[in-house]
Amino acid sequence: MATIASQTLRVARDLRVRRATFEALTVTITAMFILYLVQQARQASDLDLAFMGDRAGFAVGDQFLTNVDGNDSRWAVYFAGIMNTIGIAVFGTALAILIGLVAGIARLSSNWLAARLAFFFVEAIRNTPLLPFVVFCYTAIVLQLPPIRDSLSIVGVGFASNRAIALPWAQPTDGAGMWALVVFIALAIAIGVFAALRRYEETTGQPSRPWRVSVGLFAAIATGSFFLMGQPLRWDVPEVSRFAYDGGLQLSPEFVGLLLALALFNGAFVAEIVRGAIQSVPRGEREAAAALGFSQWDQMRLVVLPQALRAMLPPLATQCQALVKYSAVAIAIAFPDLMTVGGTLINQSGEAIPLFILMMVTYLILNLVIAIIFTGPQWRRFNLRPRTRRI
Amino acid sequence: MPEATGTLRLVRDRGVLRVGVNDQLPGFGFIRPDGTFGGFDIDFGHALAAAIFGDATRIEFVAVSTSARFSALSAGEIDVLIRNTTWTLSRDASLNLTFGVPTFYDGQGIMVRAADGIESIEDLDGAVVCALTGTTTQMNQDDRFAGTGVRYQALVFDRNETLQEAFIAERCDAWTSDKSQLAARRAAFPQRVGGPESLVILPETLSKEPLAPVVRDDDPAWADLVNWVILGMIAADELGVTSENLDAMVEAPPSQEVARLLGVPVQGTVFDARTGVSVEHMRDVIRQVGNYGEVYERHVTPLGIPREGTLNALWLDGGLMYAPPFR
Repeated sequence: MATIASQTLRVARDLRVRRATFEALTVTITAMFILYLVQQARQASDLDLAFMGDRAGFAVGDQFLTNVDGNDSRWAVYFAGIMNTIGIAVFGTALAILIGLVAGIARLSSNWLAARLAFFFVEAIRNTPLLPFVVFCYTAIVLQLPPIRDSLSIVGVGFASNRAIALPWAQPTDGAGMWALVVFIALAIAIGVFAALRRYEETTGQPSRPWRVSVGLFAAIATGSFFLMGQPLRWDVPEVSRFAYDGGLQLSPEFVGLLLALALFNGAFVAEIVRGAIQSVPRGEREAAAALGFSQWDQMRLVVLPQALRAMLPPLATQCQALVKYSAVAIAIAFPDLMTVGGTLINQSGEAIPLFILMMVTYLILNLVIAIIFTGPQWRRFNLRPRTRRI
Repeated sequence: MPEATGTLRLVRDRGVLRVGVNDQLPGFGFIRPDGTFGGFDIDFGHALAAAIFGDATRIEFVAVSTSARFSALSAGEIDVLIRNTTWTLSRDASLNLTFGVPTFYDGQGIMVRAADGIESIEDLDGAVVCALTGTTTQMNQDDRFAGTGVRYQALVFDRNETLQEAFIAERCDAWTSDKSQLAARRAAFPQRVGGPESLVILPETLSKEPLAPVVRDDDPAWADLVNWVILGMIAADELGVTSENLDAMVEAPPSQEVARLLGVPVQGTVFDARTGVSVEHMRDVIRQVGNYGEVYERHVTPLGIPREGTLNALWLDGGLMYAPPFR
């Protein structure tokens, strides 16, 4: 009897047995929960997406690299919504990182005014909810531009009003494709020259100005071929008509308002990430660089930032993913992102459950792509990527 | 009282009529400052209670949301749904419900600034049109504009407040919604930015939105009663019977039709259509609630939607309000 009891006890105390038991339990419960959810969803809907092939019947106002109208399928309109989300995410992330770098460094600056300004910016924004901030940026800033008939002139070639911000834009003509190819080749040559000069500089110690030479080379080929090929790009200058501008690059107030709000809002969080990462680099590193005679700028650029980058990347990825998710507030200010378009599709087709699942899966994919961009294996060769340590 | 069956009997036994309504649409169904329900739809509920019990106040209003309204009716939580609900084929056919006589013919309209000099949809070529997210409004707009070859840019908001801000800032040239809703918005347009007079609702109507009461489709007798109370109010409007002159009309009916409507004996016999309620029920309806025109004047005219020349005028005046004969 005693042996059986101790035998049982020994099995029960075996770490592997325990782990296996709890893992099996977790998997079973999770699987049952997921099955339950799927079953519930199936009760309300057949989860068939065939209706997405029907004619959309409504157009998307703002479009980023797409061109769909009401006669296209619902898939096409939904895709236009996805592209709008991607557009706002790309520009929003770039601006947010820029704002965050400046504000984050400024907050650590020895300049009292810069540090205070950055402090107020970061604290004011981080302690405000996003939705009212977006509506504020739209109604109180962008919509306060004059109406179209009183358009402000931008140095005589562009216009700003609450109808759009219209700027001159390079319109491709015949031969633009060939010229783009030439520019691409020029870029490849310039990068090759840059790498070669850099290696020469490192091996011989002779300064060879890789930046100036490669950039100059690229500019010379690009402009030279531009004129030789008969100017394949033509300036398209916007003109005012009754309800809208004709031609040029037009940024809608909804895009500008959302971009402004997302860039400022996420910029404040990025500023804190930057500050934390810089402070994680030991003081001695910077003092050593100063002792070697590095300028303030070079201390930052060559010593502190490369090390801070390592601490910065994972939280930065999280912040960019947050930006994509936050961009769903677009619906509040009529920007047709994937949430807005998806909402209209739901109203129109009545297929709420399949569309909500589709929208969530779309956001999931977008955010996984961001995760790969920020923390994927491409960073390993820079020795930047932090390893996830298992506990 | 005649013997009743089905829903009518259920209502009688309960002693109170339960009506599903809107509680936040000014003019149609909303809660007044004193906490009671008021509006155009609400009065048809009162009329039905007056017809059944002879007392318009024996009624209980249940505020139902857009999404829950049909299931509340199917589940028997309410006896009739009178909540600015558009009668469409798919709703009628697929939901085991049946729609009654439309009480109000609404339609999607377009509102513009008076100063812009826009007089029809054709003047809106290239314009920006603001709308709320919602299925029919956006679809109708697309179909109509596409049909006329007029280009437009839609700007779709999820809240009326933001939409109004954008319209005030002249971000959009036109505002589209159901005409009754536009009228309510126009009436409340802030004075500091020009007030109601600065806005015009274009005469064109982009869609048909007949608002009708809804009942379950398992009780045709109940559906008949609901319909004939509404039709009685329309007939009273046509025959000139109002809450003011009711007593005089009962005393000396000017025509046999009026006599039959009000249950006044003609040559010793009273007309009884066996609808399950008292033959004199229309007297209670008109005394306590009024005829169709009176209800319209009370609730819809103050919104700035005149009746003349619209679909809601009597057929004699070129509208669609028409009651089959009472005989």
